[in-house]
Amino acid sequence: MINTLYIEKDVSDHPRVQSILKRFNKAEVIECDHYSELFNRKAQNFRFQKQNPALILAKKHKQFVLPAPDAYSIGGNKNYYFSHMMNCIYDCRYCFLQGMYRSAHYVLFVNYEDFSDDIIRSASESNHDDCYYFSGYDCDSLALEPITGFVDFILPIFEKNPRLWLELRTKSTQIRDLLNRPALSNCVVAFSLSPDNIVDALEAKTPSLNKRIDAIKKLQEKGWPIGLRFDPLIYHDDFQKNYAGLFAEVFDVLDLQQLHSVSLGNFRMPEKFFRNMVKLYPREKMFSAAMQANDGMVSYAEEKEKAMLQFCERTLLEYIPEDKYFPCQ
Amino acid sequence: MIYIVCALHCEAKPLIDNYKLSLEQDAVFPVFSNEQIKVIVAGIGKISTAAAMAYLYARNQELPYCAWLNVGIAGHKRLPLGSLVNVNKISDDSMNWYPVRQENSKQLGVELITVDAPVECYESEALVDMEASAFMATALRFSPVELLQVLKVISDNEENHIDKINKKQVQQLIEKNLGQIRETINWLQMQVDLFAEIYVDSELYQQCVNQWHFSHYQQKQLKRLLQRWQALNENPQFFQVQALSNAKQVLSFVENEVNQMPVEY
Repeated sequence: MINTLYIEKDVSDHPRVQSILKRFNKAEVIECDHYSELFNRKAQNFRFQKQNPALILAKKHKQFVLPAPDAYSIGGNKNYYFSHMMNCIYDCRYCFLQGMYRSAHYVLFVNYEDFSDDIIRSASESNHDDCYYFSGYDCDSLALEPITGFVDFILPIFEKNPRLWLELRTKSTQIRDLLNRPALSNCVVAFSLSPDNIVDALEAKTPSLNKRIDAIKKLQEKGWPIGLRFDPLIYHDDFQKNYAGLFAEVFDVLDLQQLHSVSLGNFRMPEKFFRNMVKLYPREKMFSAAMQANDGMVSYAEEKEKAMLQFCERTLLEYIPEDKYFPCQ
Repeated sequence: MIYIVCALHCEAKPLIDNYKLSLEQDAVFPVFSNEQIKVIVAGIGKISTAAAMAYLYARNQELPYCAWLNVGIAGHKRLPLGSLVNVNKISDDSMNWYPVRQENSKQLGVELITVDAPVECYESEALVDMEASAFMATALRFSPVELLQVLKVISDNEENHIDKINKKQVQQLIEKNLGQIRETINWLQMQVDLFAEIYVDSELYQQCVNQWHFSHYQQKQLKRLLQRWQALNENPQFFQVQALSNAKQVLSFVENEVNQMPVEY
């Protein structure tokens, strides 16, 4: 799976690096000065790199925890995000990472302690309000957990601080470690879900919808609060039938009582990222539908976007109470 | 097209013979080519390398998506003479470059340091050459890193000093590794073909710009509209637009078609 490891000189002796090296003992190891030498260089092709990405082990030096964008909220006023990793093992065609980053290599920052310190620091500035922390902004929160052990490291911080909330955003079924520990009522495991036909067409390398639903059921049985993220909604001619089918399938098997939150969001992308994505995939069907650009953001043409959001919202609210619904703006 | 850059003629000779390359006339640097490959003999050192590569690119700049391969000899402290290595990191002063590793490659990956003059002793575990950093810096101006490779054959080590090697031996060292060099050339060709398949303009685009006059801005519009048309309708044909009278009509027709196409998954 990973044939090449790049390791920053400064972290080559770090215990987490040593442990990852043992796991990938057949991988070629190449020392680098700084991850940006590989990750930020010009003249590289994200699409080609995605076929055989390397893992870069690095140290993050600043900006561990950042205020979340306004649209990120599942009930709290103080919202932050952090990224212990950049890039994802999945290859979702709508993902903004392919438009934002030049490289498809995975970067893992191994100085986890700096993230936990900054979580505690940011929480201490919040005047006793509940604080929400979103993981999985620049990566999938669980997909590489067996290698990184980051969630295992960070959960005790939240266990000790019940007013701090954590969202793990994922499409992964790597839930074994979560199932093997007591559930935390302030940790929401949020699954991104799409209809089967969209998973097949646009979410390469991800677990099937059925497998994700199965993982959600198991986590619910163990008492983990669950979030459902129908985001982005993907426009297609049969969207009504397919999204109605998706909601029916999901809510048929899930326990609504243990559902923490549900969100819906349209496809929207900064224009610059969208241009990069079109350059990478010029004949991609998804990017060929009628789109519009407004205030620097690309989205589906207004009437299509409206029709899709209204339909999905109406259908969704047949299953869940409004207080669990958080539209993404 | 694959561009192969060698410093010396004796490094290039086995490739010229194996691929039956012909000398191009009127070239400032010696260039040997067939339809797939061009080998340039650049001379020793970074300036010669950069100059030769820029010359080769400028001479053939109409060719889209070219791969670049640096083949040559290098010294290493311990590696046995004649072994071929695939360079995975190139350092020169404070700069580093990282050629892409081929998936499933069995070639040994080794770091390389480019120096300005031949070295007397081998201090680090890295290869030493006099061209690779210039090769990378120049090639990256013309092609993405996915289309570059650096292969070196060990010509000298602590026990076999560079002074002991002659041109004939260099030629033999390269010849001995032709099988592996060919593998890399084949891999690069596959990469080039993939790039071309994805990014080269469609035949329909060429037919349109040959038939009507499109301004520069209109060409960009046409290119994107045709990409969208092809994504939504697998095989749009020239006859669908052939009867139209001008570029404006073509753009309007294709845009209308695209916006009415169903989006199905």
